[in-house]
Amino acid sequence: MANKKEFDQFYNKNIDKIYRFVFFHTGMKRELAEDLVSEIFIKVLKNFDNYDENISKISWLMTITKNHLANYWRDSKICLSLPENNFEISKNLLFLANNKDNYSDKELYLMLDKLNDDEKNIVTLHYIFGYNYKEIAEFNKSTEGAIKIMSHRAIKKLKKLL
Amino acid sequence: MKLKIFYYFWKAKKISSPSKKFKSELYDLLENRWHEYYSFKKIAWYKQLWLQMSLITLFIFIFTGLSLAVYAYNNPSITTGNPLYSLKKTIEKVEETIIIIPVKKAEFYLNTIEKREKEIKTMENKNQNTKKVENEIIKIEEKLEKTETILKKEEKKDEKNEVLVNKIEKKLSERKKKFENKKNKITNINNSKATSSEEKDIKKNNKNDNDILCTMEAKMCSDGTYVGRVAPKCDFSLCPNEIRNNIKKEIDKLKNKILDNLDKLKKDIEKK
Repeated sequence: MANKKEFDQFYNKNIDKIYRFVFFHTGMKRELAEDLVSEIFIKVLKNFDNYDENISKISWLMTITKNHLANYWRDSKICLSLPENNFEISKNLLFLANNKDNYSDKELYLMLDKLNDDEKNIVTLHYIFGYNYKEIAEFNKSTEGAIKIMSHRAIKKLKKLL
Repeated sequence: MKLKIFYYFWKAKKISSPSKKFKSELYDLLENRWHEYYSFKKIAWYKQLWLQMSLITLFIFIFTGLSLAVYAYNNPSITTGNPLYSLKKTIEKVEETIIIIPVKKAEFYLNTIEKREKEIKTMENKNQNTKKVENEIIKIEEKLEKTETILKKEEKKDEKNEVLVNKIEKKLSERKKKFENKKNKITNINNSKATSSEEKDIKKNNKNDNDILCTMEAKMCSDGTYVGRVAPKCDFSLCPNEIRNNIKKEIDKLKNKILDNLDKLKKDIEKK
């Protein structure tokens, strides 16, 4: 049977990260993000008993989130006409920066656009969503050291650009 | 410059963070849902641990019981006195009641007789009393004879029964022969026991006389001769003088007896 304490720990560890991920992928609509995040965590709760120990829990949660977002986009057919199943975070951010004229931090997204795709992904995942290097390495199927080096280079690039 | 970059990141992070209110509300909602999904009632009956455990224990009990029963049923070394023997008997009783067809019943009785015979052999090897089992065989033989008569009646209808009837007759005749042999053996043993006991007594006596050893003492007689101790009581043997005196005494006694008899005869003759 599933362990409640384990679930609580899992919830506290991942709620912020998942919320940010959903928030940026739903056009920064707070209410929509909240609805989707609660639906995602209810899904997680239902399947927490059947969780496969061989897969990393964070990767498992990320796949649930991505699938849920994909379903939402498919069903709603509205708003920002984001391309389906596109989880390139930086592209979405850029899309937001270009479309949301009144958004104050447009500068950040324009700045990120100057990095290559991998660098953009790593920087947003680490500095905005709050994932650590080990988790990012799991998503990208790479090593922790390689991710650290890439992130360091990206920050250096940004420094030069500013 | 670096600070500016991190400031942008920090600001983006802050904007995109969930509110505390949302987090606590979601936590409460999840807690309620948790109790709905994972409470005892909601678990499917086949997933409940106590049921699984009890089913497993029941399965183990049935499995061990069946395996013990099969072992006891087929093993001739399980005889009276063995705790599994009662199990063996109950299985046989159940089998006997279940079988209705006389052909099958006869086969069953033949098999049980063979089993009992094997049991007797093992019991004899262990020097155990086989009377109970022999009585059982006699009872089974009676039942077998009954079924034989039924089979004979049916013989006309079914020719296959002939083979079985012959088998039964063979078995019964074998049993009778065995029984007679046993009887003869017992009588022979009894006779031999009686004779051997007599022989043993004699041997014992002989053995007693021969085996007793007396001390090497000597007694000096009045005529100057010496006499030693003699078995079985280890008393001193009589001196030659004493032997002579004893013989004289006995002769005197005999003389007196003869004289008395002669006097009696004389008196009788005189009376006549």
